[in-house]
Amino acid sequence: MEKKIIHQGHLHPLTVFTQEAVAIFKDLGFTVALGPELESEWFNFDFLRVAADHPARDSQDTFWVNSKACLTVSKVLRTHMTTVQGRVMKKIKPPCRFIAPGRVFRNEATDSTHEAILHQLDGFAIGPDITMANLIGTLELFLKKLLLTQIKIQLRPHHYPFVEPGMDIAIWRQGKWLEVLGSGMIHPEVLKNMGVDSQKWQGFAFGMGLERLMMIKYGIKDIRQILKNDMRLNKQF
Amino acid sequence: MLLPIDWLKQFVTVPHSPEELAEIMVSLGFEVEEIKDNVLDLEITPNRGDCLSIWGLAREYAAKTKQKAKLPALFLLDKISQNPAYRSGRPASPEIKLENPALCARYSALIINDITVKPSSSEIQSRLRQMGQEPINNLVDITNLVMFELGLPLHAFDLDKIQGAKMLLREAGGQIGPEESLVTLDGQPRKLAPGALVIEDQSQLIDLAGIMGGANSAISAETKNILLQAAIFPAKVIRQTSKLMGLTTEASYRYEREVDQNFSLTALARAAELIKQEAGGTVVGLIDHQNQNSSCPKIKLDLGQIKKLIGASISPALAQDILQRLGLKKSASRRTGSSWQIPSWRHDLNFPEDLIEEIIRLYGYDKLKKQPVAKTQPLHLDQEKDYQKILGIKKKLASQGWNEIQSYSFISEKEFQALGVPEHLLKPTSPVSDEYKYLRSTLLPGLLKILSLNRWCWPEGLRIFEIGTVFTPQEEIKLAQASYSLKDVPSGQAIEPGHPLAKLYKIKKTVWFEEKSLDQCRPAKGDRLIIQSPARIKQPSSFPPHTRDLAVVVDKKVSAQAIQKTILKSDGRIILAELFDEFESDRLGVNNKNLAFHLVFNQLNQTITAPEADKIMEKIIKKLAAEFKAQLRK
Repeated sequence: MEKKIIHQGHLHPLTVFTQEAVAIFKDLGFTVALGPELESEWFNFDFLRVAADHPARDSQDTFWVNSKACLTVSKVLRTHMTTVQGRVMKKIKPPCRFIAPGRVFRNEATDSTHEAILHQLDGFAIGPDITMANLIGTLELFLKKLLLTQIKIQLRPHHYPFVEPGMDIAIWRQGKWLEVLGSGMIHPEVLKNMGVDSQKWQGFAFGMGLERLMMIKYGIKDIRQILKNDMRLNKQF
Repeated sequence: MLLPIDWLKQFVTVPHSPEELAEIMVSLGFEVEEIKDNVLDLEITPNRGDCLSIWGLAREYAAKTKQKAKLPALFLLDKISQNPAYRSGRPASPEIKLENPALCARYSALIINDITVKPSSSEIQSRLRQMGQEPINNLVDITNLVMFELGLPLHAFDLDKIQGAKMLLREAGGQIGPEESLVTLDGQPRKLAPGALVIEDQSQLIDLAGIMGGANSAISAETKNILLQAAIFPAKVIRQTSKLMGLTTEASYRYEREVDQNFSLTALARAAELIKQEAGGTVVGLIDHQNQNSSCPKIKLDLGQIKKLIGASISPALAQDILQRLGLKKSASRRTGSSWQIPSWRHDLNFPEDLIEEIIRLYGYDKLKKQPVAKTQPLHLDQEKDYQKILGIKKKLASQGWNEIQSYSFISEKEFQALGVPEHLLKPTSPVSDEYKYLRSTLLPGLLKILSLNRWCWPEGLRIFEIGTVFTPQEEIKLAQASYSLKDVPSGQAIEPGHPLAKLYKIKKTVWFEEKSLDQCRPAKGDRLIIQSPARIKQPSSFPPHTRDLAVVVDKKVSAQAIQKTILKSDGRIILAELFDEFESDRLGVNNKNLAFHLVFNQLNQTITAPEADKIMEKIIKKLAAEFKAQLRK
């Protein structure tokens, strides 16, 4: 008797990697949420305290889309996944823990380390007593589980308008420090925008570039390979 | 911001090596881009305009290392009265007027007579070159030096070129009334953005305030008398003007990030001291109009707030000491905490959380407690519906032999033309590249492009799919599938080689294509999919790969994965070993099965020749025979 079995195809490396990252957070009780790629100014900037005359709003970094025929207001291709914070908290009350993977856009030329289309994983947790100690501990645990090697971590103060205190995490790789995560405690004004009482609730937020971490973990040398879809790469996953 | 270490040492003691200093700066929140020739190149975030000077960074370093930073040598300004001494024939101190006090919170200036313009000393020249600034002459150099040193931009006018001894600070027209223009001191004629701050003398514009001086009032070799201006201009107006005119200078950069209103006289005193040394002359007048008081807000910080936010205690004495070292002053104290007055150089401290960040920043983030969040049951799982649906469909398709691709959201003009859609596509307003001209309304171009890219793939072809966002022009998520085989896409449409897109991508066979919205797809699970992500990937070469097929007969109990692993380990040039057939047949023997693999050989620096490929095959067959008693099947 001849028995034939169909053999499986491959998920895209981004899907495989995102799943690994998502699984670590789901294990901690996080829920996955998605959001639109073409966003309003409000959720991409204002909600997150990115001021109207902030350099980030220049068309240098941002894709604006005005279309009189199809859109009534100008929109932006989201520049980060932090937009999902505002979207989710419109309908959700704390306590809550969310992660949001997705595609983001940067208006810049591509080269071996820069892309116009990137993928990020953002997350946040709000509760009665979620602290910065929780932020550091959670992200360190995440990096250890994701990269599966002993990692040397450096915590650095950094400024983002939507968190305070703000922090970057860098890992030591091949003789230098590489920043992989931006994070911080959700700013009280952002909590206010969410309709959350900052006297009763507090929380942390973080975001990471998935391409960057993939390049570190798998040794991919050129960021453009990730969206190139050369099957010699894709089929290794 | 460049920080030359020997310049820093003029203000503070630095016992650290450049690398140690860099680590301290990183721990304070200033990323170090580079250390070169004893100069640190630091990233200063937009909220820290107070650190765009050697003095500002010295202040930070001093607070961290528990020192007191000391100012450089300053001219004593209190010897000068408000009424300058004139000799006959000399120009009087100009009358300074503001059209609107909101345009300048504080206007300060020195009148200096009988200076000599000549090249600066070598010390000043080398300091400027360290900052990437070319020396011009002693006067201009000193204004630039003091800006880098203390953070306050200064501008020197040739006093004798200010006509009518009148200066009016106002907004440029253009909103109502005609557009104005000015030739700036770099010789460029510029149209002024409406609302730009300008200074006008009796008859003409002489300064694009806060950004660049006018050529008509600039310092020249003949200049004898100067007005040295230190003014506080509003950050928003400077930023707006700079953006509209496409003109950014070291001065405008600092104004945009806010400067210290209480530092104007210090900056002037510093410049006056250097001018005395370098250019001679006499200071005959001081102008200082404060139009708005500097806002020095007070922020209340309860001690309990620190522990609540950070999750660990920091001794109240230490917290207080840190804030005081940073220049904050306790203005009221209670048992539970204090009210803190914010110094005039910090425009970024507005909330108690900002003070908490200051405390832990100097305390050291590396010393903070770490505690992962406790695991909880997930909530609000209804939010995951779309995500789970997409993932389920992806896994199901992959388990059925489909390969997922993810392609670009943009298409170029060429692709748009070849697509031949009559509808209006969304276009980004100012994309930096022609490749980003349109937002895709269908997943078709991406799938075809990728089929073409991978045309070396095995004879039965490639089955690919994508779940991605398109803009029709509404944003929608769609699933699209493409294959060379009709039976894979039974309800699909044919894309013939004559189709403009097929021609664009040089596709020579018919592609079957189907696309539908995510809403039209049924949910799926696909839990049986095995995912094996690699530890490290093998790099695809820019040279074309070489493909071979291999079929072996082995015992039924041997797993295909084990065979695949061994194949991949036999030679570094084997980039893929894809199982494409597995069957049992009485002809093979009752305990045996057949495994067939597509092999792909790949070398980074060159193609693989047929003889080389033959040798690799021999290696593989030997290994499989040794390890699994596998027999080659012809």
